[in-house]
Amino acid sequence: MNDPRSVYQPHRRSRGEQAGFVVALAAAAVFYIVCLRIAEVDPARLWAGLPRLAKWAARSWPPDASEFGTLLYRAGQTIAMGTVGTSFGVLLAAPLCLLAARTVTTSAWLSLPSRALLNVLRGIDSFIFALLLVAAVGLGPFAGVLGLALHAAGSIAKLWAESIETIAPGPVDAVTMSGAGRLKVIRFALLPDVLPSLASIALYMWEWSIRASTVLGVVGAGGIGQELKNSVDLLQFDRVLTILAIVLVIVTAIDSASAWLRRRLL
Amino acid sequence: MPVLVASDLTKAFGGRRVLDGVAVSVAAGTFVAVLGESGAGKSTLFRCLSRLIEPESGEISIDGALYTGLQGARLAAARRQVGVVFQQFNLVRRLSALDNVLAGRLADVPLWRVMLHQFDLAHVQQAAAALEAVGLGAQIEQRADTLSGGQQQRVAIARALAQQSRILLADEPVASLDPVTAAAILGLMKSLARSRGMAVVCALHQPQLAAQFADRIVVLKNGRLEEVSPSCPTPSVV
Repeated sequence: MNDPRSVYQPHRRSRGEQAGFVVALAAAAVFYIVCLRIAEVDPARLWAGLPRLAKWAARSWPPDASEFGTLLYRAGQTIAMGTVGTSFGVLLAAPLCLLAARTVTTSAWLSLPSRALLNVLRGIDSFIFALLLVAAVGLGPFAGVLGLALHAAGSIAKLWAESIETIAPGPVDAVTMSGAGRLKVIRFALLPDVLPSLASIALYMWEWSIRASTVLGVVGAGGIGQELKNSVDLLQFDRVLTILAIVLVIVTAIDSASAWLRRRLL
Repeated sequence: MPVLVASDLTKAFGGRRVLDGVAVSVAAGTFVAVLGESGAGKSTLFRCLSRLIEPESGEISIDGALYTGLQGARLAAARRQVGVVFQQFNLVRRLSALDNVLAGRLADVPLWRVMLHQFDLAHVQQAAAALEAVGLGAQIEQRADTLSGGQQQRVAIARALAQQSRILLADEPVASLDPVTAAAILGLMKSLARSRGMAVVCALHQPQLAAQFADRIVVLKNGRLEEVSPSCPTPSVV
């Protein structure tokens, strides 16, 4: 019996394609080597600094808990900054995501500027926003809250808009045919299906904001980060260890709570 | 007088003319089946008739009033006369059967009530009655995505009932259902056409189902509708 054979010819890379691949690989390797040089990566310096690190680590034990109450208050400030910053971000993101979602806002005159604004907010880190806002509103956690809110608004709105765009248009078409206006259609046909995913994104950003707010103190925006910077500056490594332990507990607890809530929502 | 009249509808995609002068007229209480091959343009026709997409030319009127050309609030008001049932049901998955049917009443409910999801008892009872009319009285509070395909399609029909529309456009409503459920759904649509005087236009793939349930059969071919005898739909054209 004859073997049935198809006339199908699988695609083989031409010499030109193969050469192009090699050139792309070489370019990526060169880029990476340049990055290593510019970043001044030097294993010898790390090796030389290890004994100093070990000395500091030894000096950090036992941890200094003499100002535990103050540190706990600062930790509370960090959680508050992350929570309030995220909630302000959510409020800003709600209208922005609707304007940016192509399936909701079909006018390019509205959606393109909205997307550009989201990219600006997302592209500038909360740390940089806080640094600028400390100059405007003074030292303290409020600058941190505003910095977190602006960056979170951009990130949340972008992720929300993408989430809304992936929703099947069928239910929206069906409810539109009932004669309902745009807002009613969004509330009734879009929101119920997309809400768990929106809430999950907001929770993820809350978790992220609290992690970010632990370092905002470095630029004078209050919180546990401020205490960390002061202790490092004064070489109080036993106090640094206490602060790091508190940060770890906070971040782990918030991560677990957020992950649990997101599992419940989806 | 016909409830739905469409004349000279045209629609093209990428240079291909999918609808080329389609004309159809449907009287109250009549079940019209639209047959056609896959890709013949049945879904395009239904989306044009409902104005989910715009025809390039031609006119559609409902009860003698022009439907094409309306915009904004006037279009929304006219849409209340057009109930639509889709092949993929298009229910809001995370809402209950009752909530999905209440969607048919949204135009009558103030915005703040919709935002707070607070409906009048009268609207709730109307929606429940619509579900009972399609045989889903026991599934009123069940979430849409836990219902079977046939049940979901019944919810979609109940949504059109709650809307109290004059026209029911059904785009291949039984394409994804088993034969027994398909016959039950089409029987239900036919009885609604009779009892409520709705003008039903239903796209189908199977000529035998069209012959069994439709009062009139039209075939969409080469962008135009041709009327065929309900007792003998020509299988060669579908």
